[in-house]
Amino acid sequence: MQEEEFYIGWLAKAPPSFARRTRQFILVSVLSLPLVIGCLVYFQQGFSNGVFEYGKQTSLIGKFSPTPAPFLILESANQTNGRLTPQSILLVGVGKHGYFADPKEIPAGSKVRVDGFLIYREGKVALQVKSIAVLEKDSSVNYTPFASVLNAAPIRLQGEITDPKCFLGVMNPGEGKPHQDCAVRCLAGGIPPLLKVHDGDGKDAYYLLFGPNGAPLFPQIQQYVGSGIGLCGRIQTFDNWQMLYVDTTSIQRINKYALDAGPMCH
Amino acid sequence: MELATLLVTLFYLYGIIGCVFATWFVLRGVEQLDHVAKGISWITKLLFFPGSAALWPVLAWKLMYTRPENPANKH
Amino acid sequence: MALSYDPVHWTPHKRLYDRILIAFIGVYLLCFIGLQSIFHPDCTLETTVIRATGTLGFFMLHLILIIGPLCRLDRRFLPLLYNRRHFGVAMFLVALSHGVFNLFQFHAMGNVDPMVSLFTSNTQYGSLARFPFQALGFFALLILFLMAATSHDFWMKNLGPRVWKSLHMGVYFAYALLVMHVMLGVIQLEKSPVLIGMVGLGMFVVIGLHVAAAIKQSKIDAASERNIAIEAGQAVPEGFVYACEWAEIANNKAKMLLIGKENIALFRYEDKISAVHNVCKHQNGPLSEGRIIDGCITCPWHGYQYLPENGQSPPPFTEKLSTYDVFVKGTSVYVHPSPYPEGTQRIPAEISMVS
Repeated sequence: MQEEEFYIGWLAKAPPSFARRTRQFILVSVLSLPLVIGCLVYFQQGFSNGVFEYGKQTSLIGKFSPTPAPFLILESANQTNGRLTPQSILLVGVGKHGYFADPKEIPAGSKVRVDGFLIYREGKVALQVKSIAVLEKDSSVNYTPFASVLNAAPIRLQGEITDPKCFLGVMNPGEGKPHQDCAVRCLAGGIPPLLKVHDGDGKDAYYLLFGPNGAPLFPQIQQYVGSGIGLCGRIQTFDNWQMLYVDTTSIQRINKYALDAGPMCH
Repeated sequence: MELATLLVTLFYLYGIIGCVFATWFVLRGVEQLDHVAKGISWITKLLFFPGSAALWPVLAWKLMYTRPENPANKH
Repeated sequence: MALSYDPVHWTPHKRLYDRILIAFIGVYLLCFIGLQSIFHPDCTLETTVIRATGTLGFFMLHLILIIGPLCRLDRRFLPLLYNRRHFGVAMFLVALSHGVFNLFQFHAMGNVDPMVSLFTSNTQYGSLARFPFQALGFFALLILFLMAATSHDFWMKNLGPRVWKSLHMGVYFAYALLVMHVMLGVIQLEKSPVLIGMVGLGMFVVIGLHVAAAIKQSKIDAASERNIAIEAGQAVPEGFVYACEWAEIANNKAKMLLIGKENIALFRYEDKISAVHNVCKHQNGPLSEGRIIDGCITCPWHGYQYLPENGQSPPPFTEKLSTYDVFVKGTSVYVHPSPYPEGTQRIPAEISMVS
């Protein structure tokens, strides 16, 4: 009988047939690497051009408007050396927190200088506040920051809820199922929800969501974050932002982002 | 949320007790449990740390209910 | 063997294997991060690292899982099995970095503890499509941690081979959790059929090889049982069961027997036949697939050795196997299927070459 080869790990050399099989396994594994990595990288759907200028501080001067979400309304549009021409900038806090100001220290309408890190995507700009300094306190009692119009008739929109901080550039992708938990955490931290509406022509529209009276929508909407929903609300436009005051009873889950009539809004 | 907080707190507690136990175990207990481990190197003991921290109830139970091995009784 | 514990029982093979392993991980991460920065320059570094480590860990787990059945189908793959432990620990470390990056990225710096956030941000445990997939990843990582943390021989000895093996069979549960983690997680965003196909292909290979190995093993077991059943009527002294013709066992090799619940390895050497329990004390390796080398039964998995006539490891080692009585009549070999206490000396049955 021909003596079969036998492998013992603690011997210095494996029998030739064992060494050959081992080499074959390693070779196949290594040769599959380019294919596996190539497919994994190439077949991702792509990423947005959102930017988070972390570590690159920007200083902006404007009026502070705390409601329904904290905004900095720039006095002159070109404070970012031509990179951006925003009129109003959403202020957010560090990590997964919104920005909150004590109304006694920074009354609405005060002229402030904000230092922080810019976050921007498709004309929407936010700023992670590092520090804020009041230059002139506002003394008027009823400050109305925006020359804004509240649409009388509610409309129905379909899209996905995420958080504007990550979506605009802190994370990429800042939407979809993998980002869902983070978006919930950001909304829980006081950042207003953002509804991304896909209009079917490849262009997206974004709305900051609030309750009917401008109150925060979290945690009612927690379960709807990160998947397709439809809802009714009234739009308020100012500067380059759109606010949507949501009828919370109208929120419902949808299967696709495709626009359809859906139930009537009241 | 409250339930999750409670469970996560228990998880942390388990881990902290595990780390304290594991520190003692790799310094002393390991040699009580297994005479083969007498005089083993520092690095080897360090390798036992994560497992001791994770499985501390099993090791504690074994230390309490098994007689310590006595190499003198062995043939 | 368990004479003393070292961090690693280094052998030339292990050193070579580890070098290949580290190179494999390094090349994967470099290529992934490099290609990602070329094809997706807008992707943030954190996302790239999360995706690189996640995909690498999952890929490594597939390779680890197919080594076992490959060795059962063709034992010449055994050097891979012998050195698999470091592969497993390396895979855990890659998976851990994926988990830690994710926990920090998605759950840290919020209004609750990151671990609480992990389980409470998405509470839709009742829905399949919206299931909190990160929790699945956490539990899979926990299993992989337990396996990596107990991979040293110390744990095998002190937990007992049976408990240790059961714990390490948890890898299949971890694999199932991770398939769900991928399908209910990133695949809900990255819907490319190629990516879904890759997960499917991975499952097909892993399950297919396991099924093929199980079919092969069941044929061997059935053949072994059939031989015993056919010849059982010839049993001579009371309690002894016919095993085989001694000529069926090659010199210095063994035959496996399943008699009732007893799993026995019948070794032939120097015109003698001895029987010991077929399960190695180290990692439950199949001793009947081993050899007699330098007068010792040598386990095919990690080279643990035992003397055939008493089942004891040669001094200074202390492992012991159960032994069995063997009886030879003419050309037929009979075994008494009740085991003696581990390490009991039994007189080997002599075979007469003249008959």
